[in-house]
Amino acid sequence: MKLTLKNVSKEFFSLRGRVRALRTLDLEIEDGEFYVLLGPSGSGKSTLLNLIAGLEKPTTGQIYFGDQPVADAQRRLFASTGQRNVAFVFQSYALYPHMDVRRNIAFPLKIARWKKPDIERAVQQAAETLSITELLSARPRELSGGQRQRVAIARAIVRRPSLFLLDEPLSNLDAQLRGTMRAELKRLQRQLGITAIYVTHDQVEAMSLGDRVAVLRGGELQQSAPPHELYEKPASPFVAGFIGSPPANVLTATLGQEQGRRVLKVSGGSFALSGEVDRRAQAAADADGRLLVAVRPEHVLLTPSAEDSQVETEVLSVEPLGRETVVRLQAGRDIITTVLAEADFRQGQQLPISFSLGNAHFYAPSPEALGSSQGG
Amino acid sequence: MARPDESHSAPPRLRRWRDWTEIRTATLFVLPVVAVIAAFVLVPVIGTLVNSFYRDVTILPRRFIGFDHYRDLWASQSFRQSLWFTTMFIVASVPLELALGMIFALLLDVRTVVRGLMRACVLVPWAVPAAVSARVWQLIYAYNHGAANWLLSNLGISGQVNWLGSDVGAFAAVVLADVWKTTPFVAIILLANLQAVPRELYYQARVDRANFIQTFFHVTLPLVKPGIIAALLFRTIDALRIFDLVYVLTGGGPGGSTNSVSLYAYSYYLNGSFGYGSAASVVLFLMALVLSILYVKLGRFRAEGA
Amino acid sequence: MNERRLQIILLVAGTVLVFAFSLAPFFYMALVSFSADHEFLAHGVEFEPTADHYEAVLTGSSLHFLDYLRNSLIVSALSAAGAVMFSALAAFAITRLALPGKLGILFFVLIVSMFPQIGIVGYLFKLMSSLGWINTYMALVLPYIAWTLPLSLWVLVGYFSQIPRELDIAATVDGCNRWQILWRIIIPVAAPGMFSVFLLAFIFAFNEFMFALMLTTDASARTVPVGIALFQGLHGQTPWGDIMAASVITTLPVIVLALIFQRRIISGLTQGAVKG
Repeated sequence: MKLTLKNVSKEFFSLRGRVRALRTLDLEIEDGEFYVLLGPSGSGKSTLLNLIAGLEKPTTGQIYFGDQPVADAQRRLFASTGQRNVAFVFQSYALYPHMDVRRNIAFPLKIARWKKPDIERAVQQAAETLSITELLSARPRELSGGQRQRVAIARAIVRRPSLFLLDEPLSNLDAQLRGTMRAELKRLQRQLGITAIYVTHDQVEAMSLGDRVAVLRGGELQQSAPPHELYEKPASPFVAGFIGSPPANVLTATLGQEQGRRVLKVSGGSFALSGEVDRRAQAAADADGRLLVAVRPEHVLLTPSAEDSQVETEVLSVEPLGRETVVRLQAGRDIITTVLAEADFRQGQQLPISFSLGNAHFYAPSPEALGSSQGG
Repeated sequence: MARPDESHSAPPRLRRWRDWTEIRTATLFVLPVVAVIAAFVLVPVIGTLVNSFYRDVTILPRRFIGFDHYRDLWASQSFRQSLWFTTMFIVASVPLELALGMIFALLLDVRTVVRGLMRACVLVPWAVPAAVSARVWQLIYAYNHGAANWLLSNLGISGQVNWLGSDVGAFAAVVLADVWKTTPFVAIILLANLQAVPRELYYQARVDRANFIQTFFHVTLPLVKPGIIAALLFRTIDALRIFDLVYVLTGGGPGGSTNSVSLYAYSYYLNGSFGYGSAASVVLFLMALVLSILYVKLGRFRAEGA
Repeated sequence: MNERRLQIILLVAGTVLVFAFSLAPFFYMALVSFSADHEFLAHGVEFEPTADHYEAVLTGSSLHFLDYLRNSLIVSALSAAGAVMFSALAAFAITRLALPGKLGILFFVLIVSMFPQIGIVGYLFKLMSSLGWINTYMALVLPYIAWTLPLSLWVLVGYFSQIPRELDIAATVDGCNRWQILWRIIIPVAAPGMFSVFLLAFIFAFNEFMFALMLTTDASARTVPVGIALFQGLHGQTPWGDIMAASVITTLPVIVLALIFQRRIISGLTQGAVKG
């Protein structure tokens, strides 16, 4: 089922006054798509999920399931959660503690007044799909976290929802299990062909699961794109600084003249500009020549090409991770992260570096965009 | 899975925006509570208040008399005596209950083999009807053959105490019986607060070489303060309306020296003087109201989940 | 080391004291109930064991003890059931639904719980008289429900608010309406808490004295506390042995309840009292 959001926004009223949880956004999620909502806490991703689930009403805009409106703020009409046929999977699993696994999975069917044999068959099939048949008569409290999550997923898929909503479903699992469950979720979603919306704050999870990923921040949609596009063409400095492990270095810079040549000055050094890169930098800069530059760790070069295009740095830390080594460098006020196949550096060592500016991204300066990635 | 359910494939019907059904359901759900309390607490309280301005005696016609009853109350020696007793009873019993309750709570908090049994035993005095235990105390206080005097003389502390026959004896008897009955309640409340104290603080205190008395006064007591305030005010308000114990144990005697305000008002109800009894009740009610407002203010209630 | 030893001595002494303090009166009560003469502690009187008092109390119809006991059990059970039912509905609305003024209801109920009973009982007497309900169960059950509701409501609100919101949302997504959420999810999950509330309300009603004293005049609805308080002998002498036997029979179930459900009672009491 295709999902369309038109002009949707959400405001809350609290004692402190109006809180804009979600700024106006338009979104189209295709039938059968695995769509991920990614953002730090307070970014509005859960609010968006609740709007789609029908747990909240939008302040403006319309939401359509297929061609069918389910919420319309102008006409003041609304379809309740129960009517929307969505399934929800929670971080806390939300299994009914007083029911065994079988009754947990059967519950939505029982409420929908299915016939007993039909319920039994459906429960059996869902349990087989998630390989939990031997747990059917266990109580939730007897299960491990991973098992609980499987039961929760079985309960979600058992009645063939038209939409699958997952709110950080893997956050309570340990790292190893998270990887396995991730692969399984993806396989399951493909197999059932149900549109899925998945909320997470973990960009690795988002990138590995999503057909498309929407990055949210402070209630604002920053970019909605396939994972590779998020990585290669981040639409905002926030996206650049959020996606990737480690993420891109986002530095404040100014355009200027040095010895008659156009240069890009960053803290600790400057680069000569020319051609295509110069045009892109100029387009991004404001009237005072200030701009933001995002450089991926792999585009930090340890062998400066020219004397006039380098940054003086000092090695802050070296973190060998096995296959690669993360090196943090102090460049003036900024810290620059780079990833190397092998690195033989001492802490405190002076190291001139350079950027592969052809691969860098330039953005208009916005102080609040640089403030912190936790904000909003 | 199975078959797609027909009812679910139907498009959702849109409803009206504002969901009045929720507010209606919620109102319906609280209605029984509000109705029962209104009918059997609120209306009677207002009725009592109104009645206190009337001469309302069984055989005579009802007549509005304004504040006459209150003036009579003020002039009444025995009403002032009952106010005095009730106040002194609070002053004597509540601090004793708190101190003893604190000691009990500390003991109940220690991990010993008999802890569960001890907690259950402590509950018993609280759970037994006051009127029943008052009967036992009545026998305990008997002059010639009661357990209290038997214990005193066998321990060689003193001779026979005239418990229920003297002013001082009767007062002490009432306070002691009340302390016995309500200390468990205080202990349970304080115990809950004690258990909420993080164990690390005790370890830290030990690291800091505090002895257990220092630990109690510098760590335990400040952290249990909210519980102490709660217990203090619950107990004060409860002691204010003392009735069962004095009714059974002393009947208000000797010579009205243990006559509580509740008992005073009751004796007028019993004679059919409803107006005057109501006026005495209203005085007690106002005292309780002042105390409970104080409680809510001091307690700084967190209404969780609301 | 010295301090440790002192601590242990204090602990043992304290524990013995707590047991003695709590149970000694009951021990005395039991002794008197089995003694032919209640003055066995006085000089020159011997303790002579007998079960006569129990026989008198359990068979002598003039004392009406069994009537009182039955009345007490019925009235307390009905009151507790009513209090649990009503407060469960209200606690659900207060913790789960959009109800304007829900805090107001909680505070209102809290204030009500602090009213002195004497300010109510006179009016109740007139009300019940005019309804012709004196000496009926109804005259006690309804005021008892009202009287125990504040505690029941506060305790249940505490229990209900501990149930995670996700369960409600999961149930909503699974197609439950509000009634179904209450009956199929909240009440089963909160069952232990509801049982605590039932126990507390039962004990409250079982112990109540003033209403029962004022609103009953004979054995048809009079409860045990009033019955025992007003026990009179046939010949003007107080039948202490019979009274103590009746007290033992009344106290025994309470002790058993306290022993079995110690945890539940304490949990309920604490929920209600420690929120402040």
